[in-house]
Amino acid sequence: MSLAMRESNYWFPALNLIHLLGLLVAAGTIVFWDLRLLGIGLRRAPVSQVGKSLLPWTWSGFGVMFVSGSLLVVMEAGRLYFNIFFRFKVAFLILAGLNVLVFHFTVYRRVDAWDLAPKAPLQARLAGGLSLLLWFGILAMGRAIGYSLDYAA
Amino acid sequence: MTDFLTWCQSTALSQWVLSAKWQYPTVEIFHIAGLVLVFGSILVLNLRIFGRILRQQPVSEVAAGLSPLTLTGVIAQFVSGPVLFMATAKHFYESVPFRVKLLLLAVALVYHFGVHRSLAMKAQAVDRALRISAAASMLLWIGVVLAGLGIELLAG
Repeated sequence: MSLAMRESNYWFPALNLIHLLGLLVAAGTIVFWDLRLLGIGLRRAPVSQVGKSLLPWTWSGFGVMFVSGSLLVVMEAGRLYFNIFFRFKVAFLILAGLNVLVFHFTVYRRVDAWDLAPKAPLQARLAGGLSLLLWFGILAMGRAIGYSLDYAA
Repeated sequence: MTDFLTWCQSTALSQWVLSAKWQYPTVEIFHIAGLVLVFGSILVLNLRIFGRILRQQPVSEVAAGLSPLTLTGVIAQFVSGPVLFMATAKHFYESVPFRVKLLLLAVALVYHFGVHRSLAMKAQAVDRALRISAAASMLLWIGVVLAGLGIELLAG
């Protein structure tokens, strides 16, 4: 499959485009949930409501990114495994996932106590800030992968 | 025009941006991060208008909360965008997707800050006019994004 896709001129840009559109929906929604935790943006809306309404969109975008991203990795076959930016990107993704898990099973359990506060407790703000940084890192590494492959080609 | 493009590429800034491998991609990353803010905030606002999210929050409140973030993203893009353009001005000038993008961007910006944002911020309830405006806004920005991504994806 990877050979057939690599030989076609359309698959690669098309998948890249889909990957980026997925990013815009995933990052474009999660950012506003992170910012809400930091007390910026939708600060008048309850934290839990912002989370519940944005999350399905974040996950849909992420699903699109994951499928298109996996296909791009398959197309590049072995080239990505040793790519330093790719390794950082995967590490950032894992860290972002862990951040969500920790947040969900600790401070978010007591969300009723701070749901309406414009500014969330410190641990929630840290989780929001960390998520913003990790997503910026994921975006940056993704862009760097594109350039490093161009240079190698 | 050629003089202007040559001048763009000859500035110290453009020389620096192209002087090593990392500058251009770095500016590009900030340009995309700005896009995430602009497109994301407008997407979230329009999803609210379509009644898909935050139904208990008034549209006017959502619009007011998101507006500074849209503006922050616009500023990030307006700083990074011209830097990218200047570095390889001739390449951009000749690119059809780039021309389409500039045109759509001008329309989308005027429409957002002139019409859509004010409609949303003053909205007492979601009516037909506001929903049509949200649909127009979404289409314009999707057009800007597709043309913008097309500059590079169609260049190969």
